[in-house]
Amino acid sequence: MNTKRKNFLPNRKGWLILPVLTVMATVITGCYYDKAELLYPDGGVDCSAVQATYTKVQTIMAAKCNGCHSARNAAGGTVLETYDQVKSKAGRIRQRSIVEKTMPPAGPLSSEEIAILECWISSGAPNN
Amino acid sequence: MQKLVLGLILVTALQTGYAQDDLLSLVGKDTLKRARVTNAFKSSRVINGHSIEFLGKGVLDFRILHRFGEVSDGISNLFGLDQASMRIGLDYGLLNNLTVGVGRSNLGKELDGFIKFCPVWQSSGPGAFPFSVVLVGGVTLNTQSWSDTARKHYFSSRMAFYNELIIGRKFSERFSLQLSPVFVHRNLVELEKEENDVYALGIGARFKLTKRIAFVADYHYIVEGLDKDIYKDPLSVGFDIETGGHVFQLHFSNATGMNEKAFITNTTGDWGKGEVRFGFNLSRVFTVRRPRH
Repeated sequence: MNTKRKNFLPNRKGWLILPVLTVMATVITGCYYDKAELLYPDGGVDCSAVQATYTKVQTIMAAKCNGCHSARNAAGGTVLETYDQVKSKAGRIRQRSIVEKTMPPAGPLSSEEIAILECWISSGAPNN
Repeated sequence: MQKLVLGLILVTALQTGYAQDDLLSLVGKDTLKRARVTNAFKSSRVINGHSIEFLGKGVLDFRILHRFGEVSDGISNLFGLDQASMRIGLDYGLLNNLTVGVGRSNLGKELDGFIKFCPVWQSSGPGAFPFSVVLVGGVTLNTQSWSDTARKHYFSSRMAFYNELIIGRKFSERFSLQLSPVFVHRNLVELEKEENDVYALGIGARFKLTKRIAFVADYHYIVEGLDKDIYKDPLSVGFDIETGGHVFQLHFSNATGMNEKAFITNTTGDWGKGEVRFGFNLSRVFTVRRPRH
């Protein structure tokens, strides 16, 4: 009778399959195609409470941005004084002020200001 | 007696001849052995993107990356040096052709991890293969608190994934080039018109200037999935400087992100408008497990 035990455990290299399978399982089970605009159709309760309008955005621009980003100074070649100028730079404003928080250089915007910018940009940057 | 001496000389000469034949055959075998082509790049990253280079088995790579503010911010911001984004990470060579790594960026408070595997090396000698093929799979996790606390948020919304195929070749001691199609998937995007999937084609090159210094360039062309009016193709150029166990990569880039999802999908800086930033990658390797011989 063959008494040799069969080793069901993988060999040393065989164990490497585990992280690969883990990543594959994560990728397969973790993939979603969510869009915040559709996931939160009313823009989220907070955004409606914030009532993010261009008028409010303009106030933030005047207080925190136009010191450098005016027609006179145009730091980095960017002017943020009119609606068209602000809208055309909405992606950059979001990146620098909300994601990176590297603008304004004197210190990041307050959470209220960030909420206004975030809600205004995510609602399509309307001229209201 | 003379016959005995002559016999000994003959036997010795024959043995020496056989021994020489054996040695020559060994030399012949060695020179004909297939050899892996190494040091196509000085580091496991070209600048932002992965290179075809791997850590050795049992080698730990401690990586510190910095991206400063935009040079166009001017003197009041010391041309961007007043601001810094950073990533701290650890890569480890499980095998000579399998590396895993984790890192954390302060930008978006993002964790990332990857597995990098090389099924085919570029090699020379008999049965040589002309280029290396590398597969990279990674995941990122945004740990930043949600700005809108009233919404119902999902853990999956924090996640993004990327898969990359790298095909690269060391053309000469000085010049190496690689192409890397990348697929990035973001579980959550802001607008309905935005795509969750982004496709890019990376091009990385190294030109060795001296024994320790090389010029490197890393460009990713966004093929599909991003609004090109807002987002730009990440382009970085710089120099690799090797000093013992350290590799310094000093560069200028229009990208701030330091993982594939971040620098491919979040780059808004425009080189044409001077929206570039200085940055560096610092790599220090430690042999934590010596290979058995």
